[in-house]
Amino acid sequence: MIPAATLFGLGAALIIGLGLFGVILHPEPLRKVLAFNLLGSGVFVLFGVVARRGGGRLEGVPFGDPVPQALIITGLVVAFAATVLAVALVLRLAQADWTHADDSHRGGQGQVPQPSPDAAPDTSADLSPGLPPDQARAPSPRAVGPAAASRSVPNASPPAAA
Amino acid sequence: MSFPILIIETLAGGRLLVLALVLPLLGALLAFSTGGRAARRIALVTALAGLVVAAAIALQLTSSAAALDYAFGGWAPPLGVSLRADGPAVMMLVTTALVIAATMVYAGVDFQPAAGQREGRSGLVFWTLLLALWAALNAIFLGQDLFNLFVALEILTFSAVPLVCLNGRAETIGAALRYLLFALLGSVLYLLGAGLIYGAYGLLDLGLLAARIQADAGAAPPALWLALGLMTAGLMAKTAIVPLHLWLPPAHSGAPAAASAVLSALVVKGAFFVLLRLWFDLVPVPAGWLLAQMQGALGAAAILLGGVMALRQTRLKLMVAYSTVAQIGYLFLIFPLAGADAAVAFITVGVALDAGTAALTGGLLQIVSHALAKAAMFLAAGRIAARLGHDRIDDLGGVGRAMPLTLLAFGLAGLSLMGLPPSGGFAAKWLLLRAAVETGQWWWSLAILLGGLLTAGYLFRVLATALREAPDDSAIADARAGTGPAAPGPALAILLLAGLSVLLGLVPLGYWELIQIGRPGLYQPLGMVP
Repeated sequence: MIPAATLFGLGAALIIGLGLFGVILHPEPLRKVLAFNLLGSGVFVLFGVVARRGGGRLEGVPFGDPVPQALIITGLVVAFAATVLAVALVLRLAQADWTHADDSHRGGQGQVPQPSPDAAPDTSADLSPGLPPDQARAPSPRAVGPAAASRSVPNASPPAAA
Repeated sequence: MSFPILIIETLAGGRLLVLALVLPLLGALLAFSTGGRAARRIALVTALAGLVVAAAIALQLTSSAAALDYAFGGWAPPLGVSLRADGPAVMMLVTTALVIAATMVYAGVDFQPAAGQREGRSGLVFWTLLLALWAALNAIFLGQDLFNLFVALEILTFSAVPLVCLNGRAETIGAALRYLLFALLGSVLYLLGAGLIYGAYGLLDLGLLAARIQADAGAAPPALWLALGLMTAGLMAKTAIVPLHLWLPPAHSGAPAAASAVLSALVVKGAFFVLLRLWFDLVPVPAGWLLAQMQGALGAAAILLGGVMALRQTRLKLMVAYSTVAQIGYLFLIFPLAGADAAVAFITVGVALDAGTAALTGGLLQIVSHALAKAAMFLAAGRIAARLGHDRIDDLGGVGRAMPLTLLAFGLAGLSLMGLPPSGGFAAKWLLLRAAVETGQWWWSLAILLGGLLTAGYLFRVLATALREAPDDSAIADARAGTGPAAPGPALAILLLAGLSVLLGLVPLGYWELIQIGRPGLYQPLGMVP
């Protein structure tokens, strides 16, 4: 009979492995964010196992160890904030792509407002006014992450459809 | 009791450290809640106060010659959480305060709304996040608790990522998202490692853990090594060491110049500082010859690859960003050099050093001099780009005549990056080079020297072009005619940063013994991974 803590520990390792696989190998940002959440959940389960078993000195104490539980709560808040930030960025990226697709196929009559009208003075890229937006953003940002190969924004309309 | 004595009494015993955390955080909250034009004023006042606090902590450290400790609520670890300022932490605190204050002076003009207009959203976000970022960095430098360090690293990520995409363009949002994903993977690996260490020892405090690990040296549980491996990998992704550097160039070059300066100078160093804490404080025996050599190999690869990539760039800001990739490589040479036979001692510039101390001192000097130089360089590149309307290296002709102060600062910062005497970069690279030669690891000296040559190559390209006469019809002629005399503040702030990075090399080497304060028995003979 395998003790419960060991069983949960193995489960945590499995979830962490699955999450790591997804974060590294999925090309789409949204899937990466979901995989990151899975990975985080695995880590929290592991903290739970440590709480049940007792960390270090407390090992074998019948009432368990409250410290890892407190850490899980803080970790959850942090992971939630990270997910919100990541999803917000994915949405903005999709929106920008959408605007761009509309612009280039309807002669610049984009329906979605251009992001951030009060943008900071951009100093990195070419600011010459005559350049059409197509060329200005030639290096496509769609592939995000080292293993990105395919289209990364699932819900943006493909340029041909517009 | 007179008032000054009352202040000293109140702030004695490490209570200043709390101020270093609370001040920028309070500034961030105030700036965000008041908004508008007040945000900039609040940020500048906070910067001034933060500089004073950092200087006071440095004074207290040097006068007492002992680390400053503070336990929150009087609860000592393991129950409570403690702050600790030792030599390296104070060095980083002061550097951070300097760079952030100078960046704020620069950005005061950059993010200034036109007369009669409300402050834009990007301005408000910039000031708030810059202050939050500062608080996170101070928490990293002072933190002694593995989990608190995780929270500080996350606050650092959350305030750094939006700075990348302040201009809201699709390519910068993509760069920010990629940065965020790398950083999140890094922090979750770090958290996993922290959990494993807690499971093995039931402790999170660095000092107590180090004592425990030292007590059962040689019989450490395998979980410790697994945890250290995971945490190291995670922190490497955040530090952007080759091959995990892919996120850095687009993110750092796409951000507004003031944000790039802070990201490149300070944010990557925050993650690296935790790495130093792990490998020098937590595990007192530099672990394993092979592991240290591997870290060094990544560092050498970063120096060479970053240098070659910087040489191939056509855009100034991308070149400076790749230069950061290369300069981070030098930091990873600390591990093989400080981990080598520490009994090797030698005398340089009249100071006797053992190889370990030389490597760590050189590495920390590299952190500080690169922080100052790279901030100056990004700000200078930002000013040049703002003036010309582009940052193509080949079309920089005439910049030397149009903006001599800015170009001078760029050149001075370049001296430090190349490692030419008498700059701070020279002192750093000289110490690393001596440590490499004295410990018989000559192969690292090849990387250091080649890296210097590559740096000289790409910087010379910029300076040579910028000093050429401008073609008649170039944008610079219009720019010169069109704009009145610019405010001197930004140029002086850049010059101050660049000048400091050079002057750092003139500080007598013996003075850097201050980084040994509060770090007893660091350099043990080399131990092997069980």
